[in-house]
Amino acid sequence: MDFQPTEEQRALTDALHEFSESEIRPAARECEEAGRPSERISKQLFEMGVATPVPEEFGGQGTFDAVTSVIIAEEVAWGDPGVAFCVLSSGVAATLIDLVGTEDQRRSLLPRMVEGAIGTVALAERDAGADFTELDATAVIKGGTAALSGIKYTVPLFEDAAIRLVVVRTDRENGLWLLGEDAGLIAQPEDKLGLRSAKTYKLVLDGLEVPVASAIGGLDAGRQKLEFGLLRAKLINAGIALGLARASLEYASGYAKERTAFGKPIGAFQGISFKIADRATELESARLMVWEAAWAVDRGDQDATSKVIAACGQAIAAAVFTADDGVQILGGHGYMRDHPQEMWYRDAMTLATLDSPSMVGDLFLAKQLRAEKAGVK
Amino acid sequence: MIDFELDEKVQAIQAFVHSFAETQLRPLAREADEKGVVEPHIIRMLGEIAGNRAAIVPEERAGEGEDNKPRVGHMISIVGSEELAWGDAAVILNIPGPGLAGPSINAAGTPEQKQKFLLDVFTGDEPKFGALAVTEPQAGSDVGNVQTTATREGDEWVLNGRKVFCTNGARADVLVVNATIDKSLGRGGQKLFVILKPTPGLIVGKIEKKLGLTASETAELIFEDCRIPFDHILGGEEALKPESGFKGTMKTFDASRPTVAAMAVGIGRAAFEYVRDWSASEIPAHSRRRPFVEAKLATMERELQGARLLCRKAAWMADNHIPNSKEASMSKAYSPQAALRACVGAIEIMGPEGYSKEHLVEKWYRDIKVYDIFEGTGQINRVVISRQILGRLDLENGPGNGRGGGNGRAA
Repeated sequence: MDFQPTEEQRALTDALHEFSESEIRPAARECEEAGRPSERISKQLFEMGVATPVPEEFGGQGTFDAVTSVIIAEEVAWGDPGVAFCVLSSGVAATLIDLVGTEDQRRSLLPRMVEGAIGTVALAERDAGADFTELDATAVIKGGTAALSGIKYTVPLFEDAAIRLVVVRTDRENGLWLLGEDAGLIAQPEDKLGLRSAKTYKLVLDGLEVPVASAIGGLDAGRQKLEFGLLRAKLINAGIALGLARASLEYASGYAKERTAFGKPIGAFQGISFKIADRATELESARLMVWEAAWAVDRGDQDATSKVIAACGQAIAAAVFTADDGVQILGGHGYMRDHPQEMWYRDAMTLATLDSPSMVGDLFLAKQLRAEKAGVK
Repeated sequence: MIDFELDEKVQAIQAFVHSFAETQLRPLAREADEKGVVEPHIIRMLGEIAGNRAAIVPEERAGEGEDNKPRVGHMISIVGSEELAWGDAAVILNIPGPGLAGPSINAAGTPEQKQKFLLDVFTGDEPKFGALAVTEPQAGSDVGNVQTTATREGDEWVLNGRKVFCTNGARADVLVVNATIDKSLGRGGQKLFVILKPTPGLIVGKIEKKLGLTASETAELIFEDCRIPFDHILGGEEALKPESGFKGTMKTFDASRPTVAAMAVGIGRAAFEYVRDWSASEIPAHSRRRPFVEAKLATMERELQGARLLCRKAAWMADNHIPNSKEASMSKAYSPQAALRACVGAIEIMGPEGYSKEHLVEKWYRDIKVYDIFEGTGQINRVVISRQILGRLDLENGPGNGRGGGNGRAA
């Protein structure tokens, strides 16, 4: 048992933290107002090799294991959760293609991403955010074409993306499909509560026809490969939740030390300091669960899925409760846009709709635990 | 490199302890709870199985005592404690051994004292017990406020005062007591002393009747001119320096809090597993309650895993010589509450059967409560955590919180 990240992971953490602190955090409001990350930030994260991990054999800077990917997500999200959600989504697309794609697909798509083509994945649905095993969107195959139908939410950078992936059900199994660039698609920009620096879209597929060859990994792509890819995607959200919670907690702690009331720093009052202690504890437990889940994914463990769902629940809960207390500790100032707390408060709940800490997440966890138990025995 | 797999050695111990808990401890749970005592022949049997020496100087025993060498002693303690408490939290406090006297002597004692008070006493087949007496009627979390005094008279210390809520205090063969040698020094005057039984002037007072852990002995101890040799001060001459004794007490807590937290996880897991299996057979798949029950079970499992990992991280830090006050307190602040929620959830799911003595969940619900109180209440652990994050803000501008004075607060 070891809780210490590797030297490479620590070096990467330091480099990313410095970048987050000097470049992302100061530009967070600007990105939010623009509705997307600045060109400069996107470009630099891309050049650092963290935004779009592609294997070296396709010209990239190499890929990361799941543990490293959550460490990256936490650091970038500490700078700004919306920027992290937007920029890292292209990496989720690259990871899915790398994990699931056929040799030909990897060879044709991944080098384009190295050259700067943006990727995106349409996954979330109204009734299936946390639970990707109950998607409503479908692919109906007839001869050489497939008709794709369904409504997807929170699809990052859809209009900018050259490589657009969508997850839909084929008969009963999930499949990953590549959409053509000029196909007749209806994508509506979303005007949303938080994560506003991530430009996202609602995507409506109404019997959209694509060639069967667009199925990433082919029609009988390994079910487990896609499941592990989707777990990797969920883990990125969990990592973002950790970064958000940490940012909010640190900011509130700094304020509690500076702001005085009744002749003392407000952090000297237990009504404040106990909130900080509780949120710090929940954040630590969430981080350990996220690391453990990522470690289980890297090992290909049988119970990786339930570990990821549980970790997401714990991380999103930490983010939502910390952001709430973050505003509360700053009081009126927390409500004002002069401080970032109100932004994190909105971001946390938006992130929660993608991976719910509530009944939906725990119901998915319950279902998975039952399946794993049945599978083991 | 991040790795969540328990070392092979720890896994083997976990499997052994689990089987002991399942076959020996759990079957005793109800009867011990009702009688409020564990019979001597069972204590002897438990001692024989546990080797009568459980958790004595684990580092030395494993030959891993030197600084900076990786150890697994704390991890073994965490993993083992969860399994034992899963079996029965009260019965395990009747397993002969040094108890909390062990970590305090290990943390604060000299090598000679470890030999004399631990290895020499806890040997052979006769069941022996150790205990740690810290709490006083007016001083719980505020450890710095203890009133028991130790006065030096020639080659002896003379102890006077009263301790309460001491686990195994009446039957202890080795008793560690904190007392002040100079009240004007505040917590700096506090030292740890060892009393070997029998010693004149050591009087056993009331044995408490409690909400839970009924089969565990909780005693009041009175010291009336209780005389012990001078070398029974833990740490020897070194301990006479200000702060060293108090630090010893606090170091004990850094080691014991994750262990106690892990026991809470064990109780929570017992309730979780029991109600999970109960609901699988008692609540039909098509029942309207089913989704509620399953989501509740998932929440329990999620929170218990978060608690378990906090305990393991704190233990891993201790094993790797990394200061862990904050993490130890995090495990202790979080685990009992997560476990309590699991016990509450179990009763809610089972309904009227949940409070029936036909099942153990009502007992676990009673047992778990004290885990948020002893070895540092949830509140004092939040004080420790927030001070680690914010610093001592209470000292900056407020009056009457002077460092080290008679009203100095325990961290």
